[in-house]
Amino acid sequence: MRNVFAVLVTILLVILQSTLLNKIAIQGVKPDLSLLAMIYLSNKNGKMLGQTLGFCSGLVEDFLSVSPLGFNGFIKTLIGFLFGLTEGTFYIDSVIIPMAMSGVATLLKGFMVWVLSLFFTLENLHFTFFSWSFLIEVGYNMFLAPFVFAFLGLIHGLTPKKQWEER
Amino acid sequence: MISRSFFGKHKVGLLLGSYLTFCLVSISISTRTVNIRPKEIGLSIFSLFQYGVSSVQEFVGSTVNSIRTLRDLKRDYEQAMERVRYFEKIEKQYTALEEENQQLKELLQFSQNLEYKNIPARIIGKDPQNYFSTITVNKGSLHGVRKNMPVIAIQGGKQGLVGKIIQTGFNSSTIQPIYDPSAYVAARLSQSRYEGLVNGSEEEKIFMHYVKRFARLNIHNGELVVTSGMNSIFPPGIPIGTLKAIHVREYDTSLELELEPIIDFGRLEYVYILQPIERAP
Repeated sequence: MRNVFAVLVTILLVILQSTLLNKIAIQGVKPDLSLLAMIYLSNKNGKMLGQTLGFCSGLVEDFLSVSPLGFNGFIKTLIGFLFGLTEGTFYIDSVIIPMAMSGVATLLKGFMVWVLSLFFTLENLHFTFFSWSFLIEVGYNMFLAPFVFAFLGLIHGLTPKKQWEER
Repeated sequence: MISRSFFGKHKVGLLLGSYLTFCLVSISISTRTVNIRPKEIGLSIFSLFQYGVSSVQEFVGSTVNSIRTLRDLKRDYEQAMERVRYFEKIEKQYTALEEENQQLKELLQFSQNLEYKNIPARIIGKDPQNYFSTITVNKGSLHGVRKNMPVIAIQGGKQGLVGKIIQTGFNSSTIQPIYDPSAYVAARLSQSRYEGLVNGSEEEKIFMHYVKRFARLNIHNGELVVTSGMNSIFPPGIPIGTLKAIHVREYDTSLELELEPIIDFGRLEYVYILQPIERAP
């Protein structure tokens, strides 16, 4: 049940990204809230849910985007899996770790966009790793990560119960 | 028994492999433009949610604005009544001028051979990622929208080019705007008549390329750039933007003109998808 709920939350964030979040774009760059939610939930729930979240949210992005089907799916699945591996390895504080996690995830996403663009002819893609727009996206995601993590932490049912809660 | 324990043991890896394989196969198929339509089906399904969120946003926005609008309406009504009296006076003059204008057009053979029906559409979303600059509208193949149809908009009483349709779902379509780096439009400077190619950029600015270098003496800032109709997609005469800056490079045989788009894409809500009809006999 938790898995379905988590998938729905990330899909909802993808849809918000394509509609409401255009209003808060900085120089046309909007934050990737579904990525932030995915790395948080992957870290809390492990690699199995992490990769599934990435796959589902990435495919929905592909459906709503002009990108080839599987492009975002591939990137998000890998990121979800990698952040799932970090389950239980470190404590997430309120500011520093969320910012670091989102910074690494966004850079990883950019790196994978670049790698995929080497192997496939991706029409309409305009991505440059060393560009202002990507820098803004990294900064924007890092700025919002503590808020998104804190908000998701408040929602019951998205993360496993802690040991003292189960007793 | 062995196989069951193997699958149980490597469940995560096998699932990851399946996900990634599916994505890679799907990208391969999509980029080779094989004619299967899972993407169109997905766009159709998920754009319904975009449509829902966009409608709620519009409803809330309109409700909040309605109180202010009512107050403004009363003031505008009084002003409008004054203007109506004024316009009644000039209406008679206008009718006469219109007839005269029509006669002159016929004489000069300026009347256009092509007419365009249009499909009004509302913008319901943009690309969820920053690396693609597409716009989604709420009209699709069910409404007669087809790939490569030109899209225009009217803002502040001015008509301007928005882009073209690059993907259609059943009830939604995707527009490639003119500021997209992959968008190309054959264009012409409206007064000096020099031709070139308008192209977007990563900074979402638009430029006109391949304008002859000697044209520099005859063009000036503020000159209107319109579609030339040289490619079959965009009809001629649709305003694209005004000339903002002229860039001259020593090594280049042509000029690069920076344009200010007619359409403010940040405020764009409604567009018109142009539907070409048969040429009049």
